[in-house]
Amino acid sequence: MVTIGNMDFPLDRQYYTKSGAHMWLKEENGLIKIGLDAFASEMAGFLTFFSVNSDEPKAGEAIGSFESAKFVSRFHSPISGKVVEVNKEAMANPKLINDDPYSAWIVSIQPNNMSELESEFIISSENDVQQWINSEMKKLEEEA
Amino acid sequence: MVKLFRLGDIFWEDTQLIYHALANLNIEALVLSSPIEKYVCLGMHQNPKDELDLEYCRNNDIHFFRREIGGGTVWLDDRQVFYNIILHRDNALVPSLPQNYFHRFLKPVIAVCDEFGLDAEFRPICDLLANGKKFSGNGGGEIGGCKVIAGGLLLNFEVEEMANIMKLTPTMREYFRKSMVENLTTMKMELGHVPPKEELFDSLVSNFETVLGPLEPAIITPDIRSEMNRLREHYMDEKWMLQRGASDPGREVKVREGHYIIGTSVEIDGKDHELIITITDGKVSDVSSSISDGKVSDVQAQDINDPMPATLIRIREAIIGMEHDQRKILKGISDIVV
Repeated sequence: MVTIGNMDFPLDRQYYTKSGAHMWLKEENGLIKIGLDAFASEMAGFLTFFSVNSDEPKAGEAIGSFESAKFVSRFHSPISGKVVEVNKEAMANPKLINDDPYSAWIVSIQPNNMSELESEFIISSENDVQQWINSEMKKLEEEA
Repeated sequence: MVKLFRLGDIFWEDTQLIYHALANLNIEALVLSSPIEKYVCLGMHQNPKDELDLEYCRNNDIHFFRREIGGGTVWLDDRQVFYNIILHRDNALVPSLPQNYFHRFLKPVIAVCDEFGLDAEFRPICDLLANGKKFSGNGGGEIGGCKVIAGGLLLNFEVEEMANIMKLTPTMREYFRKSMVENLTTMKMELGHVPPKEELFDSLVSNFETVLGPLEPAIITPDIRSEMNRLREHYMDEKWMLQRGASDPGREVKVREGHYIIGTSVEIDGKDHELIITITDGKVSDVSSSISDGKVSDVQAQDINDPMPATLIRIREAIIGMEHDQRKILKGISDIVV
């Protein structure tokens, strides 16, 4: 586990980092569950709406949107594939994602190509996660 | 260089289509406009069927538009001026956090108000207040590869019109109307007159240039118009307009930042009661009830041996001070009523 401030980043999963994305992904029985990481959840603040609007995303494509602070942000799929399940409970009550972003997954995807998980934008080692979050924190300090 | 689309008074749909089109085309811009017709604009995740009295809107020729950015339902007309900021998401001027984006790009609007003698104050996340009352609402979001802010200044405003278009019970409509009177203001109310739009546009241009740098005057090219036409078909399609957004378990309307009204029904001793919960500065500050006649009860003045006031007192004790989380508030009520 990497812990920075009050944010945890469990190392039993991978993290998608492209263009400020803060998604986690975890393989379970050949399917990939994805969700928002603690950084995204913390920075977004109180999530008021969450929706998924793509059935067959390509890697890097917007798969849905969420709203907090009167701002609609898009979240992007780390991999190409078919959405096989949406976490309806989390969609109906996005606060669950704020409360526990690693339990409140968003979608489960049947991947087209597992090799996409080796993308340079998908990281999992303690060192990579630590460096990535530190650099994200630094960016925030600079823009404040 | 960021482009300047100083459009002035334009067709109502175009005030929305223009910034969606520019964002889709990755054109960084400041857009200034004002609609020539009244209309209602909903946030991306709002559900028009739950939000609006569609029959009232139809009977009164009030159009509505569901935008792709955040925030709530707003009444828009020719007594308002709009500004839209469209910047690439990787532009160094664009902070990664929405709250910082709003803060940075509402400073020029505050400076405009200052020039006109209005002492404006930024209220996080994205409202502008004068004397504690809101006169500018803003929302934002990602469209295509851009981050967009859309906002406006109220030159003048009729709370009646806003109250009428909302789908509300009579009690809640009355609360909403009263809250708007208490919490909204306009440039006319604050200054005693309505500043000419052209002067406001001049001031918006010069103040936004302090943040965006020199702006390059631009016009709507055939490519932009073509994208606006394409989007018009999409946004005017009922599939988009009436697409169900996320639905709230209770009815909630925003008056200004931190100030909301939530309405919900409870059954006590076989009678339906409507509870009106007031949120002030992010916390439950008041709960009132009414029976079907729409008259609002003041629980303190009633006989506490009456089952409703006794229950209401318990509800008040349970939820006053709770944070603004509709589900938790309604759960707090249902725990008592059940």
